[in-house]
Amino acid sequence: MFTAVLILLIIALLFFVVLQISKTSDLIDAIKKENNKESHSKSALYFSLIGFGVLIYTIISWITESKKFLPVSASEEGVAIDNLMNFILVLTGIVFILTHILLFYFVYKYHYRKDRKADFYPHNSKLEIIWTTVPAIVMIGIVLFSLSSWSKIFSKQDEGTLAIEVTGKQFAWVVRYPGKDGKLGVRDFTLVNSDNELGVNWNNKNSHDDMLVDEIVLPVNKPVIVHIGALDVIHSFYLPEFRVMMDAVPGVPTKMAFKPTITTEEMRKKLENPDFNYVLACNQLCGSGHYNMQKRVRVVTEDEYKQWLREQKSYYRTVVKPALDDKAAQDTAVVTTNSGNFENTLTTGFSLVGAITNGVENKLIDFLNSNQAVSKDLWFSFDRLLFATGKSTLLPSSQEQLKNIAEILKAYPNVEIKLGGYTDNVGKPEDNLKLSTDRAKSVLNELSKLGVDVKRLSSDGYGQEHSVASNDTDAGRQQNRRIDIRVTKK
Amino acid sequence: MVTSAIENNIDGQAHHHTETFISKYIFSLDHKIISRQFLFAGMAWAVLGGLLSVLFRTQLAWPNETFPVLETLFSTWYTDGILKPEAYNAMITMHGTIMIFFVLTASLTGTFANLLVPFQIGARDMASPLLNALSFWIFILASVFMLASLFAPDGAPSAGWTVYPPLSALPQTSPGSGLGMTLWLIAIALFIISTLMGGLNYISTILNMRTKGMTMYRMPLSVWALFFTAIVGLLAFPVLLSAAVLLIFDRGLGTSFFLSNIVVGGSPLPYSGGSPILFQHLFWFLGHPEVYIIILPAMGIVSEVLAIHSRKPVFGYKAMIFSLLGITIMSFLVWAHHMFVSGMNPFLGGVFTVFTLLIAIPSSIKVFNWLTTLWRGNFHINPASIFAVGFVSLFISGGLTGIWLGSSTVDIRLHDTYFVIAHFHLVMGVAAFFGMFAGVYHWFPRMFGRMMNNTMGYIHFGITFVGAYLIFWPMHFMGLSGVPRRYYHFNEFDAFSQYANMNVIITVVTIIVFITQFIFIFNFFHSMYFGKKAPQNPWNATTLEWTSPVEGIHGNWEGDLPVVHRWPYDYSKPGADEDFIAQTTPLKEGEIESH
Repeated sequence: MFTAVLILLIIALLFFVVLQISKTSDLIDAIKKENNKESHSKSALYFSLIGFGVLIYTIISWITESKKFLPVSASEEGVAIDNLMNFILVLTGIVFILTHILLFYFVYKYHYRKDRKADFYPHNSKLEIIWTTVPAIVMIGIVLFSLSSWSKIFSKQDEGTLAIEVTGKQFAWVVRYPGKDGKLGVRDFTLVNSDNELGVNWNNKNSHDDMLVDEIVLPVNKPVIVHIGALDVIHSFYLPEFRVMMDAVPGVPTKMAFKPTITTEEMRKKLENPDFNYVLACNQLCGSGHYNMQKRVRVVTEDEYKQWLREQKSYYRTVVKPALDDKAAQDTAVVTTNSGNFENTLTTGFSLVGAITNGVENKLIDFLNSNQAVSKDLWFSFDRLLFATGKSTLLPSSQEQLKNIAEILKAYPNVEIKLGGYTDNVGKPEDNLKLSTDRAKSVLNELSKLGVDVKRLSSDGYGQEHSVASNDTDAGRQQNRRIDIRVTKK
Repeated sequence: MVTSAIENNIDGQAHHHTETFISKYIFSLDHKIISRQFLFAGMAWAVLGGLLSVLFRTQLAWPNETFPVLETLFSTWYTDGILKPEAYNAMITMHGTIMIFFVLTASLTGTFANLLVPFQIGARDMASPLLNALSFWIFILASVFMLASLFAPDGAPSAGWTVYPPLSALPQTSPGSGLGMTLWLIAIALFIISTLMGGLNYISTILNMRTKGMTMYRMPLSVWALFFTAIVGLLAFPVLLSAAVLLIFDRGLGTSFFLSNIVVGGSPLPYSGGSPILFQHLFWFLGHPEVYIIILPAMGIVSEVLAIHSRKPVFGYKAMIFSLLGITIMSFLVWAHHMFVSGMNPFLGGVFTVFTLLIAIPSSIKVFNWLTTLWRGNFHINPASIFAVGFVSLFISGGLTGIWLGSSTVDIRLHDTYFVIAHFHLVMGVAAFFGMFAGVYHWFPRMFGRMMNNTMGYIHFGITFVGAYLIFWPMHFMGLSGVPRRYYHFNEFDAFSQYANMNVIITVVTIIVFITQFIFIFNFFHSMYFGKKAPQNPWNATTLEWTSPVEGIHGNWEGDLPVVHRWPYDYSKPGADEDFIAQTTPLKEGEIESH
């Protein structure tokens, strides 16, 4: 606080000084009668000195600071970019220096003197034609140079032998490498959930050997094509040392191809900095964490790259599949959110409608196809049944899943099932028991209407017993209000 | 030739109805008062915009220090004496929005179009004084909304002045994209309405209300520049309005114009079929002409000021007009050079490189013509004239780096780095301010009937000019080292943190330059009341505004309107006694009018 007050005092003092100087100079001007001054030579000199001082500063600082500029480009494309940039630097540098010398020199040289008159020189067509055509020719030269390198950089984009995918999100990058097939599995943003951040469609076989990796590792002297995307807002894939930049746009896939030419090790030696690392940064304002969205990039030899690749694990096989298996094996499956479509055509020729990977249809069929024995504790929850609130009336949207279950039972004619009804713990237990019994019965009736022999079906209500989730939250209570299915005979 | 001017039919005598303070100074329809109103409002906005830059520069210079004082002053933006990252983003967003739209568009054009258009073409007022006043008051309404957005409870808008969706569309992605962004969009919509009203008025006034003898080719370049500015604004701003309205739909009505396939925090959102790149096209279709909306009036002012103070006709009057026209047309063909690496088709990148580099041609014509205007002149040094020379220097420095960035290839390396900040601040930020300062120092006697203090003007110029280079020149180096813009701090990246000391220097200079502007403000208000009384024609200029009574009367001229006989640049014409011949002086027998 003290320093702040001090600074304010100093500023106030400076202001006072400026005011006094200005007033005095006004008085002096009045005495000298400024308007009758013989010339403005002094003020013109001061002005030109400031001007030339600035010009000298701009040139010298550029030269001394240039050692801090980005090192030589680590990609083939970057060399072309830098060459063009240096060409433009020389051209514009010359124009910058010449025009500034003229500007400040003219002000000094042609400053006001009482005894002379300015030249009346309104125009000169020849001069004007010269300084229209010369810049035009120079610009056309730069345009041609620029367009040829631009088209080279972008025509390479399909030659990439290695295709990787980088996806930006607030505030990190997700990097995916293809497995042996060299192809990345397809994605659908509607499939995103906590186990599937990118929304990869696991039914697409290409996805099974894809790897999610912690750093971008690239073999030297091999072209790479980066497929760039974003989940939430626009980010930008920026590799300064490689002169690579391309926005990552949600909904609009972009790509950029380049060929790294200097390994991390070589660059460390070149810069005499053993800690140097290439780094991926974000270069499009993406929110509060924009300033720290980095990912390490390593360029290595072909052998090191292969070695690294062998150490990476398929995400599907190490994470997704075991989780699915786990879930299938759980005693009481819970309602899950949508995750992937489950496509299946039954032996009867009926194709399941709207079924999802973690849905009851899939679990039931898996169980029926497996060697697992019938168990009193193995229940599967319906995931798309809806009842009118507090009643046992099924809503029309439930028909799709009921039809699927009915068709499965027709395809497996020996199977008998039991339906169990459950509620949450809101309300009187005896009311809940009645509601759950009625609801299970109501599902039984529907299946029967859909052509399943009533003898194969039984139902019971369990009220608020056997909850599968906490009754303390809305989400938990919703999971507890359910109809389960148990196979009683295979 | 152009249509002959229509004589004004407004009664030239002072109107005799009684005027209260409110009708005279607040809800005035007089172009001279509205001009002052735009200038005062712009000064207030500029102080706020500058203050924001001081705040975020402080963060960049000392990211690890705490500033309890600042927290006491701006408690919502600081925690534990440190600027919050989202508040940093809000500061840069609001700094850009305020400076570009509210100061350098509304105030620069508003001040000088209102002051100069009627005066210099010999009209008693604007074609529609009511529309003119409405334009100002809607601007004030826009200002109220914009100011409110800065204090939105969830946070001020923080998606950058370019407000790219999805960041600006989804409050889940940024707290400032809630109420703050809604207020921002309303403010911009109102702002556009105000700009369109002003622009329509300037164009109709220039086309229809020139006094007798004032042909188009006898108009000063300042009027020409304001004419083209109004045309650019009239054609470009409606596109931004449509972008803003569609963004409001996406935010509030669940449409998907700019949004598609979005997942925030692990939940897919129900948008499909839109494209964030579409917004960028719409935005920059205004956004690029916008920089010419800012720079054209400054060019006009500088052409005028340089000619008057070097006592020489502006060199190549017609070339100056046609280069303005060239810039006006080409300003609509270059917008996508802001989007070379946005993901748009690379073929488009090539096309826009061609147009972008070609716009350098009219710009270089202007620079060479200004230089030749100085050549063999009789250059009077005063604050107005040196700010004009400063403008030329900054325009050259910033314009040349435009050639770097205009090449799509080089842009891959430099896009969104500090190099870009250096480029546009020099060429259209500081340069436009210099044009504005030159105009204020030059026409202050016309506005207030008094002279400004020269010494304070020189101090103001010296510190601001040297400061501008000390602040922005090193940013070229940062950009060439790959340092990205809009970063809250650089501690996390080894490669970007090498400019820690440079950032301190830049910030210290920024603070000094910011404080120096108060010398100008002090000079301005002090001179308004205590400055030397201005003579009728303090600069010995030829144009009509200096023939109107110093005290500024309603209707501008008593009796008949002045009649114009010659172009506005008869300075140091051979055969004349004085070194200027007013536009109202008839040609002598056998005298040839120059163009």
